[in-house]
Amino acid sequence: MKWHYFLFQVKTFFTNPKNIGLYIVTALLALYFGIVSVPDHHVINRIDPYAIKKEYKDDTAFLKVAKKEFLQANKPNLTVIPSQGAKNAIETYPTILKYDKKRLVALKRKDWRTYTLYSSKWFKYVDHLIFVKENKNFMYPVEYGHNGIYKENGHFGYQRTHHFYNALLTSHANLNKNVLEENTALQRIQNSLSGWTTLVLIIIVIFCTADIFPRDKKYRTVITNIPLSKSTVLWVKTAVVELGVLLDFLMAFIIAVACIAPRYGLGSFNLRTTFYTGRLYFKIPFTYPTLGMYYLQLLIFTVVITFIFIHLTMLLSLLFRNEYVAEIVASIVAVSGKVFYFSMGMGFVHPFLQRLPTTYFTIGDSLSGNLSYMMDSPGWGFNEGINSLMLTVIVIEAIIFLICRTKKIPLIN
Amino acid sequence: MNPNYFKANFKIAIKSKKNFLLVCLLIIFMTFFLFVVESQEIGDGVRQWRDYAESVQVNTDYFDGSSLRNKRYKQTYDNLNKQSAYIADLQNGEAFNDPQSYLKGSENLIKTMIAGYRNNYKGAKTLNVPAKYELYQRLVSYKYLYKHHIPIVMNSESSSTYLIYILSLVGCFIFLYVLFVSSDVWMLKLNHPTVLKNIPYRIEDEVKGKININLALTVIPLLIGMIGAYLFAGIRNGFSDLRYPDVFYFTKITAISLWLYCLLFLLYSIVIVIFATSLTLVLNQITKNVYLSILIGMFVYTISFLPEKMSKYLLWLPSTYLNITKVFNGTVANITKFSFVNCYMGVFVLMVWSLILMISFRCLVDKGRDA
Repeated sequence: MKWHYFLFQVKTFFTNPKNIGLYIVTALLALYFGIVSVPDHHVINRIDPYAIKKEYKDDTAFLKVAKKEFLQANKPNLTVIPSQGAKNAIETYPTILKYDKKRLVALKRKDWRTYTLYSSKWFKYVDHLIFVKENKNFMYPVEYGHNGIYKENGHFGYQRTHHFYNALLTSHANLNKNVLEENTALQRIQNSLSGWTTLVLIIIVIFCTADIFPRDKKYRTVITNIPLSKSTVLWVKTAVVELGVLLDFLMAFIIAVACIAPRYGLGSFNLRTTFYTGRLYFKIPFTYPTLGMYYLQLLIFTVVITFIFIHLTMLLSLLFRNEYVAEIVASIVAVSGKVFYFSMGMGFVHPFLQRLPTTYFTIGDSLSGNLSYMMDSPGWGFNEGINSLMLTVIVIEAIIFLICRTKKIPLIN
Repeated sequence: MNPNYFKANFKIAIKSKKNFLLVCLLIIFMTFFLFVVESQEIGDGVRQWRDYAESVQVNTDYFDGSSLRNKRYKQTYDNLNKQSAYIADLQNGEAFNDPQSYLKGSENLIKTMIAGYRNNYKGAKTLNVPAKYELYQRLVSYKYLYKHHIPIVMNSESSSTYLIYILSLVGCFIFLYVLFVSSDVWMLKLNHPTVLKNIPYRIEDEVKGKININLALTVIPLLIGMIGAYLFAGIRNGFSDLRYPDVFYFTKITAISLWLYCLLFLLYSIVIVIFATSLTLVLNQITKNVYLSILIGMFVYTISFLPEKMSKYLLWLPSTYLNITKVFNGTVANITKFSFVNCYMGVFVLMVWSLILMISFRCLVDKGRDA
């Protein structure tokens, strides 16, 4: 009986015009992402041999002038004091020029490992000069100045790139330009599954679930006589929606990969990525999980969050007896964190936000450690997120358990 | 229109849990979003300019002795230094709570920023300067304040500035709100054909009735939300003048007083309600599904987010005019590069489309009856 009921629910789920519409919407979003959004993506620390060549030429020329200044200063009978720029150049440019030369040669030979090694050193050294030494001869790219903390953003960006390159060097995977710029299909999807993108996907889950009980009104006479307990009906419906939604996401994933991979490559699950531990002055500011591990954590979060929203929407639908109200309230819960408190330093001021499940609904922000940077404190990653999410599951399940035991609340009104 | 019909249907609409929740949410959102504005310091004068000051500083630092020998680079460099001085002026005004010097500093800064466009900021290619029309939008507000001797408010937390901010947000999603309210507007009729078929009302009366119901469910909560937002922000952070300027585009960017802006906002909302109701009537009749009606309605709205270069070809589609904020502040005119694209044009296009949709709806209903 359970199996037949499951098949019946699967059939009604996949023939529901609303669900077909949602599948089409997801497919269109995935296409837009693969065809328009990815090629338009701007990489701040991109691989640009012309920029390196320009830096090499300019620095060599300036170093010559600086050396002349020092020669003048060293001449007897003359009291010339070399400029601060010349002093800085004498101290720092030889190292920069050495790195640039190695990087240019590596690029010419397409020796990506050497390029990655010396670029990593370059980012570390230049970041040290700008952030610690306050050397005015160097600056972070202006793209880091988007929210009024240009220097902090630049420092984080350069440190992250330095550690990301180190991570790639430890991964023993094949390196190329697309891997280094994180443009391969797996890396691009990894970086995009955060913020509003994931919240839109959650709203799709809510819309898929909202009419799962009210729809039964159509077959009221048939369904009320089915000899299945309330909890069995509930779990069968949960399984159907979870399956339907995960298939929808899988379809979107395949479409995105099919659009990106031919142009930028697929990438590999063996590639390493970075996870920010919360403070740049920590002994280990970034850890290097593999992309496979990242996707595993992403899958766990996706399954749990999808489950939470399926049951939350069902619960609201049962309590309010109205699918639209359930949708609106569940959608508000989904976006509440992003709308109300996702801004710089909020977690430092209000540490309790770490325990709220709404903090982790954007998934990628938490798994990459970017949330720790935004909240300005450590501990907003997978472990903290899964605890908070599992607690939410337990609370929702307890309420649903009570509803299943209460005869006053039928599944079909 | 028969008043009985309106009364009965209005009762059904307002008793709908979905509509009741949406109405409450709109009022609550408009009134209490103030807490988010306060906690995140949205629209804060110093914070707003701090980002730009960083960008100016970075770009000034990029110039070196050799590039400054070029006359055009030198012009940009001088302009950026001038801007730095005015930013310091307005930041002093904020720090010492001197609105007059903040206003003067802001006006001078905007004028200098506009002047920087004369050589297209040559040499400062990474400068985070807003688009020219956005600068004009700010300039007209400052000039209006100066002309009418209205004290400037340096944040979005006082009654008038909060109302301006919240209307700019609501203007972006009011179409979606109306779409959700009216998403099941014709479903009752479709779901209960045997009961409602014989009620002797003409289709025109029914359409008028549905529009009036949706108007009541949109304009009344909007009005309550506006009053609530103004009073709540005023009680918490102080009242400011209702003559405070808000940007409005007619044939050029200008500023109008807030009370007039609110009035125009409500009037334009009426047009959006008429269009959204006509659209959902047709979609309900065709799809016979609330969700598909919502999804298609959302698709109509998202057309306005297509790349800017395509927007001039979409001029006669309703999508361009569904975002009140963008129509009122001249963003649509700037994107399409047509100076005549203003709220009157929006009203005209939306009314023409409403008429087309109503005629289509009539035909669909007649066809359904014949079948």
